[in-house]
Amino acid sequence: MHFAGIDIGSVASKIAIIDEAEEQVGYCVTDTTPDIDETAQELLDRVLAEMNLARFDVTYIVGTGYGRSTISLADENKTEILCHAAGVHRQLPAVRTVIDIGGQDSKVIRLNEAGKVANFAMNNRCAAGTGRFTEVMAKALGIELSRWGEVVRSATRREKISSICTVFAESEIISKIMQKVPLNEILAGVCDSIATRIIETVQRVGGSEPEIAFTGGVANNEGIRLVLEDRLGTRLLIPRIPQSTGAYGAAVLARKAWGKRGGPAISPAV
Amino acid sequence: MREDTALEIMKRHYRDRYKAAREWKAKGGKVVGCVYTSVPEELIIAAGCMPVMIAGDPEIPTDAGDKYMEDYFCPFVRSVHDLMVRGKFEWLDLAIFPHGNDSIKRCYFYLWTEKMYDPSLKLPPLAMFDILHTRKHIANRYVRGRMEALKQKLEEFSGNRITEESLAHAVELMNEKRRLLKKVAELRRADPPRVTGVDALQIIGSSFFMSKEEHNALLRRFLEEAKDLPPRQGVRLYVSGTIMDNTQLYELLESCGATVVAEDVCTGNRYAENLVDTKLEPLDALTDRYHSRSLEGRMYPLPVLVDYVTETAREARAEGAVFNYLRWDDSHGWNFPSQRDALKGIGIPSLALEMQEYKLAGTEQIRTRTQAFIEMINENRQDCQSGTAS
Repeated sequence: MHFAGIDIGSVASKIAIIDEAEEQVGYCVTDTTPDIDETAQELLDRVLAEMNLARFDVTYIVGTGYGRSTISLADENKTEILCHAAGVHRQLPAVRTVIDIGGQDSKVIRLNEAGKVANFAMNNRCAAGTGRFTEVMAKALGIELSRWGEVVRSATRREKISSICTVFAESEIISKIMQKVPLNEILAGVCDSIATRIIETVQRVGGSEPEIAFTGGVANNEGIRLVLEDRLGTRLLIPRIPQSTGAYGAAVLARKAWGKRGGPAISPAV
Repeated sequence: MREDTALEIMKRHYRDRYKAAREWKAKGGKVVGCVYTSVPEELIIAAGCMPVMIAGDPEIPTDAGDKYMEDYFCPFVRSVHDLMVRGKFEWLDLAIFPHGNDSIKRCYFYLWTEKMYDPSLKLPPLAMFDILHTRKHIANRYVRGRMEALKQKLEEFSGNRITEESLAHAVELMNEKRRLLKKVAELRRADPPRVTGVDALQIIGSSFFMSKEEHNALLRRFLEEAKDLPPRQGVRLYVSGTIMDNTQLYELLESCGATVVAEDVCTGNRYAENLVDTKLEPLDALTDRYHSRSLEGRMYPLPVLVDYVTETAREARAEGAVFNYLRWDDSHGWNFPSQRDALKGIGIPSLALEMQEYKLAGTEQIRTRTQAFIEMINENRQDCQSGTAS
């Protein structure tokens, strides 16, 4: 018996399949297309083919992410806040604060000991400081996202980037390149400005409480992680596949929802 | 659905906003528009005129008005100004701008100047009603003076003297409305609530666009018909913040599985707060109601507003509070942290929708935040029920 979580994000869509013990046994990611139903169906077909499963092997599906209300193959939908909380709590039970940076939004979630959402805050409308922002900056600086860690490590100072807006920050960076500011210092400054935005959001939920987890696609970016750890003064826990946390959490909630609807209670192996 | 119920008639008046006022005007009556709820409608009624609210329209972009106006105006006022510039309120006999916030006051001066330098603009006659934001005795005396000046202005303009009798009648009419609206508020506070927030906004808001007597009669009928209202489900939400002259936010909140059971909003329950004290001299009594006991977000000192929010949210057994305020409508942003902390003290969590545009923008993001907030409340509710709350 399997359960699925489908996370339709603004940039990437993810599916996670778990077994009865809530172990993640399948995972797929693809770009989000305007046809959300088709994206969801494609993800499900792909992961089932990879796992050699049939559709009826998946007992219950929870949808999440921006496109959650339009996934017709999901049995129900939950917000990404709840799914991230569930996903992180199941994988890293000591975590009390979750920092999630996705393609076009960022959020901070405070969890209580039972892993329930105690408070949360999201960025406002604009996409500053999110995955999209890092892509624009990577292009402007000509430094691929995978190299941000080593480049940030090589910088001895962080150039101050004062613009928050993605478009203004890009032109500010271009003028700094023209002024011959070393690229690694500019990049460290970009990471610092993202960290500043996140810390503002952390303050809106009343500060962070350890342990802190870092999830979402941007958690793969070592440069941002390094600066964020430095600014917060603590190490960040990162799930094995940080981008999958929402989908995994949705799958965990799918198993719980199915249990509540009369399915047998399963005590997962921890 | 029956179309002749009091609720449906009030909804119609709310939707066809200026129909009744135009009919009144066609019969030779004078119509006085007010921006915001700090203008004493009693004086307008006592002068034999019909008061209406000058509302904005989130569906109309503000490009006509933007030619005259800088960025730092609350977007509701920006919309009102735009509609004025477009000539949509030319038919009003008078438009009164109270000092309800800085944007409204400045909007008056902008229009006044535009009228002078651009005679082609089709603007109604304009008036300003200054009303201060501190509750000191000296401020009360100043506002009493402005009240007297407004009375004179209305008398001159209408050609009708405001007599003791006509004012007493108007005060009684409005006090009766407040008493009736308080009964509507009780139906919302009931467990389960009998009226949705979307309906409540229209029940209260239709008062701004129709004859006050007729509205009172509809309220009486609505209360009689209320026994047939179905119970409402969902998380009980409380809303505080900016003026709401449309239902877009409540529609979104209630579509996420909530019912708005009470609010601290000038076009919501707050419209019915504080009866005019009939034991006082009439203008003193109006000053007392509209200034000294005013609960508008701009009023000082803050603890009065904090207590109001906590008392009304507790009374409504709210499970969560949503603070909603428009960009540049800053007083709500200043009040928010203290109000949030006080609510937290009585176990009510808050969600802030800050710096909003007039037309609900980024709807999906607001939906996500609202749904997550409601999920959070529901989860904690289950914990409490099963006794595992941490």
